[in-house]
Amino acid sequence: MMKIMKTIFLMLSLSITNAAEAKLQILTTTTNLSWLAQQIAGDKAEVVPLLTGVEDVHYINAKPSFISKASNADILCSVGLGLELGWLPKVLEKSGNAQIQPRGKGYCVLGEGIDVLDKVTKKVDRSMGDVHPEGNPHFSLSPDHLIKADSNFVGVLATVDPTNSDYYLAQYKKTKSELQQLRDRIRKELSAKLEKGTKILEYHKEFTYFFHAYGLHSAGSMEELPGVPPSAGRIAKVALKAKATGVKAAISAPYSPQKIVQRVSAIAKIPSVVLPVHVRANTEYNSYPKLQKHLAAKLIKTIKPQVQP
Amino acid sequence: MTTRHKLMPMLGGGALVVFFLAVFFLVVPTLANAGDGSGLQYSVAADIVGKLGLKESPVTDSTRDRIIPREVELMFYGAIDHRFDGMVSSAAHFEGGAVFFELHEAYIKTSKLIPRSRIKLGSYFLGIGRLNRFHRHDWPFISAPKSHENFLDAEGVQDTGLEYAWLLPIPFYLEWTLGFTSGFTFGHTHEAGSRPRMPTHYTRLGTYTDLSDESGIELGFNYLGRKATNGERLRLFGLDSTAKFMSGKTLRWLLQGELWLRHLRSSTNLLQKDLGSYIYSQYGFNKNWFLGIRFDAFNELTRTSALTGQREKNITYGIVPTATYASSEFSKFRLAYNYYEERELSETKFTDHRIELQSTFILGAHPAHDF
Repeated sequence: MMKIMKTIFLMLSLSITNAAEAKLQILTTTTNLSWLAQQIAGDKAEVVPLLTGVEDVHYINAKPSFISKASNADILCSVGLGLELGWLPKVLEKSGNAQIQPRGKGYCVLGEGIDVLDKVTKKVDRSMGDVHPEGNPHFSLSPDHLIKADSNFVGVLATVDPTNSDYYLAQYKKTKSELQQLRDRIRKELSAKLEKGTKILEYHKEFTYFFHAYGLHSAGSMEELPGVPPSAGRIAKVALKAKATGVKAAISAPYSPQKIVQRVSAIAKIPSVVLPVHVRANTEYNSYPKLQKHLAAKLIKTIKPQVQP
Repeated sequence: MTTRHKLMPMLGGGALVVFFLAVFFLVVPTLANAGDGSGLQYSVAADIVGKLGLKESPVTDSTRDRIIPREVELMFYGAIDHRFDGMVSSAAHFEGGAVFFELHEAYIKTSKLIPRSRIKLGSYFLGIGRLNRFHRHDWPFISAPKSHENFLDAEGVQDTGLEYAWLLPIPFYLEWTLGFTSGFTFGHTHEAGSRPRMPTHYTRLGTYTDLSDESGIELGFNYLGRKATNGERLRLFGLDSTAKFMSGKTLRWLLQGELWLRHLRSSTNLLQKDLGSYIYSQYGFNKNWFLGIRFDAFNELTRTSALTGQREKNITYGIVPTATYASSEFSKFRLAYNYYEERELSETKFTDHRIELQSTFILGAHPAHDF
């Protein structure tokens, strides 16, 4: 009995020591957010994304492995604006971790307070599809919007770990500056090779913020309604409109139905390209700056194949 | 204990739907628009089922050869205060030609009091197995497998008590659930029941592992026990497993199954053992269309001949192919063919063939789904 008591005491002592020395545990839903969180938290935190960058964030199961990770987190950052509404509340609740649940000090929604696009002003109901009344939640492809989201994150970080708040503030300023420089570089490159206001058609409005950041123009989505695949009639209508209005390309995320995108592309006689939406490990876009450069290069190559990006 | 009232039995299923929609559209908006900032959310889930027998069946089923709203559930949920959440749901069931209005669930819960823990107090579906943890309109098929129906009732075991779930502080997911409920009744009944000699007590150890970025498998080990007023002792041992393989927006494969062993010891110390299981495999063509097939089996392990006292080989098995069209996560349509055969001493005792149709829809908010 004494042996068991000693072992338990030793394990408790070790866990207390580890807790004192441990880095902050930050969870994010998407990989884009985890890149951002790691930039600001630096070596003071271990940042882990729940998703890997391959998934469609709308359609995720509340996997028990997420719950297990959330139970140990000091901070959990989500995109918000309804993007993770179908699964994240269940993860938060089942984690039994009060700190990362709504109104907990580690609860962090980066989309709060940013200037959203496509905000719906009329009354929303489900006949309008999977519409987000708060606005388009795919803001993370715009460096400008990410900078604004950053400030939400710094606030939460400083609340959870006030002793390092000066460090986080300095990291925030550095990240902000790097993101601005990145935006300026890509903007310059895109404006040199693509006309301002170049129209691009999206399958789902996941790239709208990217276009907004770089002076390009979203020609709308191919979907019948948000989250609803287009009918044959809609495909023809969208494609013919794209052709008539001088749309230059049709783009989609890897999980979008490629047959539909190719059909639109064929009718409209415009090139199509599949582009990543999130940072993904072990790819050429394994960081946010690389993702931005990859998107810009791919767009240039698709629209102006004769031009070297 | 659940509270049940026979509701206008002279009225048909249509009246039931009208009643609920009237409540939903007249009463609920008044509450929600009160502007009190309570965050109350509400929904109505309807489950309309049609059953068509293809041949005479000895099975008594008042819902056969008709289309009925099997269940219409009115659900309210939200935060009670900064520590507790609450859920109250009432459901109207169509049973034996009449409509019964009953309190489905009413519980207070928290996941903010004790780290890594969830506590639920009130009336709820017990957190065991797979199907028992989900409302019937969220199941991937229309009717309960034979094993579930025999062991945990057609819809599931619901009772009033306390449930505690603890996530073990280890690097992988392992959740231990422990619950105690009054045990006055067991399964679906409209009786008040009586005080059991041992209340219903149950436990589940659930674990999970990722198989890839978009797939994973969950396993649960279950036990439930109860000793009724008359001394009959029930013990259930179960294994449940669910694997999901996503591909983008599509649930490409769903594999789900449960295996239960029941020990039922009578007051005269006679032990009856039953074994039952089902396995369901479903393929998703896209996010709208799914095709699945379920295999059911149920075996009375201790069945003996009244004449010889010898053990009688027996099995009831079923094959249920099911097609699902999901217009969205809020409306689904299903078509299933049910084939059941009961065999005794290597001979067919009876077969049952029927076609089932289902339409489920949800108005209003719906809580996020479990894995």
